[in-house]
Amino acid sequence: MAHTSFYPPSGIYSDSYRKDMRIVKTKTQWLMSVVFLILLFTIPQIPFFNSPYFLRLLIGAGITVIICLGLNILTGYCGQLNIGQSAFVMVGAFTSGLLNSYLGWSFWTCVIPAGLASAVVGAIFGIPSVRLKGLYLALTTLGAQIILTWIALFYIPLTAAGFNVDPIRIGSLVFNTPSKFYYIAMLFTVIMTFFAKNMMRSGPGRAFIAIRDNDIAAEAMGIDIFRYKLFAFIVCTFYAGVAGSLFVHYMMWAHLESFTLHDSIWYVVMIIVGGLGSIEGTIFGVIFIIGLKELIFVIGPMAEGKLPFLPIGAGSGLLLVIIGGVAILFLIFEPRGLAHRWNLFKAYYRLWPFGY
Amino acid sequence: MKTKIFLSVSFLMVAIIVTLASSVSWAQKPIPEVVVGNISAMTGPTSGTHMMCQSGSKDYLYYLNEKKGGISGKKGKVKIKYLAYDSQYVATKAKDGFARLREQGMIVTTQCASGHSDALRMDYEQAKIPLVTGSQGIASMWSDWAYGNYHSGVANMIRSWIVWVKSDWEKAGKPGGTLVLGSINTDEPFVPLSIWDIDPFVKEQGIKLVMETIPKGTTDASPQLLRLKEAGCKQIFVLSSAPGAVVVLNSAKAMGLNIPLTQCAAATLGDVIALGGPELTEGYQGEYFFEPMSKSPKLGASPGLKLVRELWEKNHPNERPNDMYINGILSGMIIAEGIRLALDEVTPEKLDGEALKKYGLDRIRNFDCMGLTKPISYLPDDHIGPKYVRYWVVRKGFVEPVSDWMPTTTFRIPKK
Repeated sequence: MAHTSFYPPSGIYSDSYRKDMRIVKTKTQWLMSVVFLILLFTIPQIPFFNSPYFLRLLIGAGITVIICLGLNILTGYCGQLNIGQSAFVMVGAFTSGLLNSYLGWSFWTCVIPAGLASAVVGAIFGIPSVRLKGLYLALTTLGAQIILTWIALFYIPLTAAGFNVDPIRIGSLVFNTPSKFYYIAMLFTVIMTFFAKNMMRSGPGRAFIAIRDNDIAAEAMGIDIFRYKLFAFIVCTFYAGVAGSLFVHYMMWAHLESFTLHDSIWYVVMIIVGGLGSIEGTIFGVIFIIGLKELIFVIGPMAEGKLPFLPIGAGSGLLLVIIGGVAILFLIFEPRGLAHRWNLFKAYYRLWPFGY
Repeated sequence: MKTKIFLSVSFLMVAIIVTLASSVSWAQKPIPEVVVGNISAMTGPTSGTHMMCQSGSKDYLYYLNEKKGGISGKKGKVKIKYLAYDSQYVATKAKDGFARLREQGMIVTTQCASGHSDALRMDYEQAKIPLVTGSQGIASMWSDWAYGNYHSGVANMIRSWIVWVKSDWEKAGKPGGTLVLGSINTDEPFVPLSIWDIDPFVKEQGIKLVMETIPKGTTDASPQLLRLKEAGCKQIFVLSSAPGAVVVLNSAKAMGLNIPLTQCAAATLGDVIALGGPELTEGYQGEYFFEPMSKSPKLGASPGLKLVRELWEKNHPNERPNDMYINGILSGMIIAEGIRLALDEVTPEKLDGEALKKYGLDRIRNFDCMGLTKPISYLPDDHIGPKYVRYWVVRKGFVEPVSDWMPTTTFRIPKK
């Protein structure tokens, strides 16, 4: 698991508990955070970066970060493997879409019910966690993926056919283009990341970590295992529901083929590559995998063109081969993910040039 | 006198020089290009179909570039620049691809529809870029900017089959009283759409329809087929893609089932023959909305089919012919015809998506795609395309017709 404790640089200290609990400890960090946020929210105004294609990539990354944050809370921090996250995204997406399409609710009144709907469904599928762990619990979540997809396909005609969803509006401002929706996506990403970071520093977060590290010892210390495991499921699926709501209002179309088992597996790969049990790792993992996908997308057709023995479409098949290979390599050579590399870099940088 | 001769010769020389210069400049003027964009899932469950559609439309449009120097109209000539984007069967990537192609000047888009491409409806409507699509997805049926060229909608596959079987049954004197038909369905996403609101239709036709479901990936459909047999089904419709169809055929063969089976258009008979082999598929029926490449060579071919076979030989010499290639060819033909008609009204510089729709695609009347389909006309509230189907049967690895062309039903899933 990624090493999440923070070692402040030499000379930085806290003289109160309140100061010690701050996320941003130094003035330099404050400055960097503010500059980063300003840059993040002004990207649509910067030439070269403001192409619709690039903004769409960032929007997709932002929504995926929210999904993977929830997954990392459950899997990385609490140790409960979930390979059905895409189904919970679907629950939130369809809840929001149906409330908007049939009751005329706006996005702002749909997003919380969407999250809550996913959380309720997640709680139901989290109940087996009281008895199951590891691979057995993973199979339960796999069952959730299949069952929820089946229900959406065969028992709810509206979700089987797909339907239109209104774009997000604030007054007369309609967020129906990438350059406008980008701000919504980044706002939600920043807020959800902040919540996740804070939660992991709080009591429930420490309980999750204790359960992950040794659930028997945690229970011996007085932590209600079932209650906190269920809470982790609820938080994870709430995040999925909010992301699902954002997704359908961004796409302006709700269809169940956007929420497949493949997507669930991609999310698990992202948090593994980024670093289980790390908020920063989640972001690194999402950016890494999305960037790698785009690179393969360019290389694939080139390879197909240059290597005549490759059959038609082989270039696209490279995606599955390479991403799968990357996941295996990370598990073998860097199981703590990119977050661990980042921590090593930070530690080195702080000591540089006095690394010895 | 000398002055007059001098002036005449000078005038003549100037005229010759001006004529030569303008003809040279005209010859040197490059033929403008228009961008046709394709967004296909090169990976994912529908990659086989999508790649064939992409390949067909690209090969046909480049054939026009090569053989005829492009597409000509009264106001000018254009060449086609074909750009393709792999959506990887992901809706967000399909949108990314659309944005990218639009930045590169796309004026018309083509695809083989599925859920990921239905998500593009708002994009192409907002961008005012027409979509020419084989295999109409749900959203494209609702859009005034989408033009179909394959079938009349996924919900009409089983409906048209019921109408055909019922008409044959009536001609035979209605043997057995009530006509009982069966449908064996997989749990793929298109299946609920195919049987959308089917009960009122079945009631209206005065028949009985028994439905069974097999899970995708199963290797045995015997229980379901046995139940259909015990229910007295006279014919069975197979609502499945090719792998599911092969499972059904294997099970039917193992149990010695004699009930005729008909494949839906979600997979062509050619796909099923390729997967299951000629022996297994002997006698298997299927529906086509165009003249298939799997057509028996003994039966002759329309000019369109001959061209398709030539293009296939040229561009895919080492591959087995695939019927869905024609789906792509049809898209290419529709696009080319639309551009040709539009160029009668607007110059190449003014040919954009709106002009193509208004002056081109909306004016297509009785276009038969060189005999590959029945004539296609697009009317203001009807962009379905061909509304005729023909049923075929597999004989020794090829297909032969068992019906004439007949009109399809035109049911539409209500717009949401």
